[in-house]
Amino acid sequence: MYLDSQIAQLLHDEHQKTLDLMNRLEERTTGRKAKAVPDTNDAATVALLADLHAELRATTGHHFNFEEDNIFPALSAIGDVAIPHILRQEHDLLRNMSEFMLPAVEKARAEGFTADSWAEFCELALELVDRQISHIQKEEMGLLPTLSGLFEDDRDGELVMLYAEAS
Amino acid sequence: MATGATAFLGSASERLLSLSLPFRFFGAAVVFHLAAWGVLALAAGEVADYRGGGGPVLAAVHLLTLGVFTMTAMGASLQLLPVATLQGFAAPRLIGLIWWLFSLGTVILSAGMFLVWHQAMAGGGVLAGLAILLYLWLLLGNLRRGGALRAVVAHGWLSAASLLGLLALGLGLIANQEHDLFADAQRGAAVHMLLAGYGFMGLLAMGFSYVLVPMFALTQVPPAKAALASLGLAVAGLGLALAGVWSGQDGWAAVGAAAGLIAVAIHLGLMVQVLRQRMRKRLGPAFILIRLSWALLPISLLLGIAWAMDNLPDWGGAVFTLSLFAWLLSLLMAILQRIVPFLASMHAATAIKRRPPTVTALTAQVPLSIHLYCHCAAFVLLCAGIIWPVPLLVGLGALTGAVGAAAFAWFFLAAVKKYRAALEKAAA
Repeated sequence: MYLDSQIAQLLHDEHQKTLDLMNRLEERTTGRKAKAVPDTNDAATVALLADLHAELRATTGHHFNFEEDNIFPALSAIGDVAIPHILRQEHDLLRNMSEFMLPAVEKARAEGFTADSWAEFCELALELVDRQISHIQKEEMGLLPTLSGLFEDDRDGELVMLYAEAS
Repeated sequence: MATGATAFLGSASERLLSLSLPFRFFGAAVVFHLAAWGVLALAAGEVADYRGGGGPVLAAVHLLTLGVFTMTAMGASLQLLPVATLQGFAAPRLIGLIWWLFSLGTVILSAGMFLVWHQAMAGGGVLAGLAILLYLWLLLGNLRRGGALRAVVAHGWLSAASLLGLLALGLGLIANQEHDLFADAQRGAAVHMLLAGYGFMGLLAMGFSYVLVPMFALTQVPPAKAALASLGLAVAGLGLALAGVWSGQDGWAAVGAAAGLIAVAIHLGLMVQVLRQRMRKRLGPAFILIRLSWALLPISLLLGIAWAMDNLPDWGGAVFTLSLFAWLLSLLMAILQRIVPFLASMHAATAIKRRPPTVTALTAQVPLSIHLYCHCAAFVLLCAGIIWPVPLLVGLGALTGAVGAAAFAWFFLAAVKKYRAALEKAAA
């Protein structure tokens, strides 16, 4: 999709992974499936909570920090200040949401859900899905295409290495 | 993804109009939507046999085409055109004036048509025409300055040319009532309708679909070459169809519609490809209306071909017109229900740092579901009422449409109310 920028392609792949998780989370927490409190010993629920836990703890944080440290300054340097501003604001919001949601996920993994905790989890999960999708929508349409030509080939390769090392 | 979309979001703060500007166009469209169905209900007995001329049917048609279609197109294009051109609009007062002139013009013109009052038609037509000329001036200025998304910009140019043509014809048709300008006013009216439906609105809708559908579904903008090939065929087909209708060469009109059908096949193929490649699995209820509109577009062309070739009974013209309106209304209502909360959420995010409302939080789903069912039922009832013909079915269809329009107004007001409440809460 973004073959002329390796780092854009990498960030896109990360978005794809996050979206896959958000699609799964949304499917489990809306409609008929959301009515039943899930058994946290069930393999699909275990996997969903584990993936969500990993996403909330590290993946997004790494992705966000990487963009803020390496991509946004380069954009600002060429005079594009609006997109880094909006995306940084959304990063902060998603970080707060992750911090808020993480204990609920950890508790669910350890003790399972009650009817009340499941209802609260569903509400949080849907807000997370909504905000993540809206954020990825902006990055896919507003950030990644600008990376083509923003970095020299060498720097593009360096950024990919940097991203992998920090993962 | 193409760089045009980048520009929209890449400098969103500069390109976002004040929310009140697009929302006053959308709000007016919501009101005219309700009025169009209401007036159609009053004219239920005349719909099946309508062959042109003043009265409530003509008023209902113009409440829909000017009040809903053009009003929404103006609001949406003024906000979304920067996606394609990399240029913002720096004329908020002029946009406000356009809204006033166009709203007033539409009300007076429609009242004149309803009452068959020529002076009111002329006055309303002039006001609406003036608003359209000012809008075109803004639109063309913007299109001329930029163009990252070539296909969208090309659609914009040709849509604008169609709007100019249909405006001239529309004013000519009003003048024709007092002074004989056209040898055959009915053919002039048919050309006016085709230019409005397939030319202005159709090309604009197809062009913006190349930006909006990928944005909603999270996928790539389709290749410009294919979109331009579709556009080329559509314009050639429309030109041939218009020439055929104008000159009474029905064969040309049918061939033109067939070329349009190929153009639509390419366009829909691109849309299907876009959806297949999407990253967002759940598309939401708006896509039921979008898919319905995609089905109705080729149906309208097939009906057009059959009508041009005299292969349809007396109801052919009315059902063809109905399918044309159903296509555009379905698409526009779908687009509106997605961009109203999207724009409100973007504006809220720039004003509220701590947990601004999400798109979902600003979307009232119950009224949208009511609207969806009523919208579909209304067109089925209208179609049945025209074919049999049973005025009661037409009346029921129009009333069902009015209920759907009221539900849509509820959705719109709920979005505005929630947006304002979020701002007030943040300010407190």
